[in-house]
Amino acid sequence: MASPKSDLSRELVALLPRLRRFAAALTGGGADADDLVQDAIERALRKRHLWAPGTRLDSWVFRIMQNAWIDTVRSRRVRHATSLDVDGFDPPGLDGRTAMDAHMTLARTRAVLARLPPEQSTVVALVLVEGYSYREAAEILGVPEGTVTSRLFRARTALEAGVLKDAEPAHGETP
Amino acid sequence: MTAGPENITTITEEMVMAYADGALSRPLADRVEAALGQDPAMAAQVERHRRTRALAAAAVAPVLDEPVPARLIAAAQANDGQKRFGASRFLVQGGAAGMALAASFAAGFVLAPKPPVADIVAQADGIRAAGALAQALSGQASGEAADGVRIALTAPNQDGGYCRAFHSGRGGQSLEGVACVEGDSKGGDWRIVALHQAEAAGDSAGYRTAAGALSPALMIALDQRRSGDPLGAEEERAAIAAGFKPRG
Repeated sequence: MASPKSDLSRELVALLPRLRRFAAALTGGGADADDLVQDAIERALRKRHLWAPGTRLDSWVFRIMQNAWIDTVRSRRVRHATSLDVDGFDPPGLDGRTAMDAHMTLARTRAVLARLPPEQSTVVALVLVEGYSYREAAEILGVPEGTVTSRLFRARTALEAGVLKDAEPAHGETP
Repeated sequence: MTAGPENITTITEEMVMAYADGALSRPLADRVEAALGQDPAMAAQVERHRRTRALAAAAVAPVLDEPVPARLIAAAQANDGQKRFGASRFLVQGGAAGMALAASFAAGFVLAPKPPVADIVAQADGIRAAGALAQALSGQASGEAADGVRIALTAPNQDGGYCRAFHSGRGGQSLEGVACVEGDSKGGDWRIVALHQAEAAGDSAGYRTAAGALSPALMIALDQRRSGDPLGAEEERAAIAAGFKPRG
């Protein structure tokens, strides 16, 4: 029987490719990403009474996904540190200006994203991947716009250090 | 960057980033733009921000074209049974389990290929719990695990009896199911109305037999038979003490 509930399911299914991309930006991809999507879907279904039909489902689930990822990272940290090793993506003799293979650059990028604090990678996913404005991202996350800006800035600093460091002049001293 | 007389406030690095993202409002954006021409370091910053933006987007873009794993589709569709059952209350911790099975399971029950013979016996009129499984069903409280059997919950069923969801790791297998005592049978005669084989932990289909998790498949099976909310600890203790005699 058709119901708002099955509407929610249908919309979630339609959203899956974007949810998976979003999760990849948080986790670096792979099984972690799909586990996170599943976690977020289950949370969303359990809290479906909190979702107002007619409002944007994607924004709502993105926020849920951030919280799920925060929980996952926290529980992992308790058990044992299993973060991705960014250096593992750094082949010897890699030269950023010329030889860096595009594939490797993107792999490094994902590795850096996976190591960011969830609050930072979520802002990257919202603004840089999904194209939300700073203000929209702030509304989705329920934080001030200035918080979005500073998280995004820190995330980018990490990306520069981890991915662009060979391609650019030294960067570091900030006022 | 030096603030000349015409600059009322300093241009911060975050403002430069916002400019690179097109997130700066007009008067401020104009100021940054004017400063860029005189400040190569600032121009390089803008360029770096554009590169990180492009990198982040490109790093995950291919995911959009990947096939979506079936387990996620099942998870998104697994809501109906859960909802009617009040999932938030009965999904015990570790709810990540079992969504993938829900879709295929909803239509009927799937019989495990090789149930432990001693625990599950086929009879002319159906499948019955026996041995340690029957003992656990009759005497074990929900949430407890003993002798390889864990009971997830107990609910009154529509026949005036009870149904219990269980997980059994006995006999080298991992089974989960729902067993009921019917209103017209004597207490302790557990008829298995749903049973399926759970894969070993962490298989590729994403099904994990996390302790404490009740799969949607079981929720659906239970939901088809229950007549009320699952018993609280107190009610359950009373039912166990009474040997799960059919109610009223």
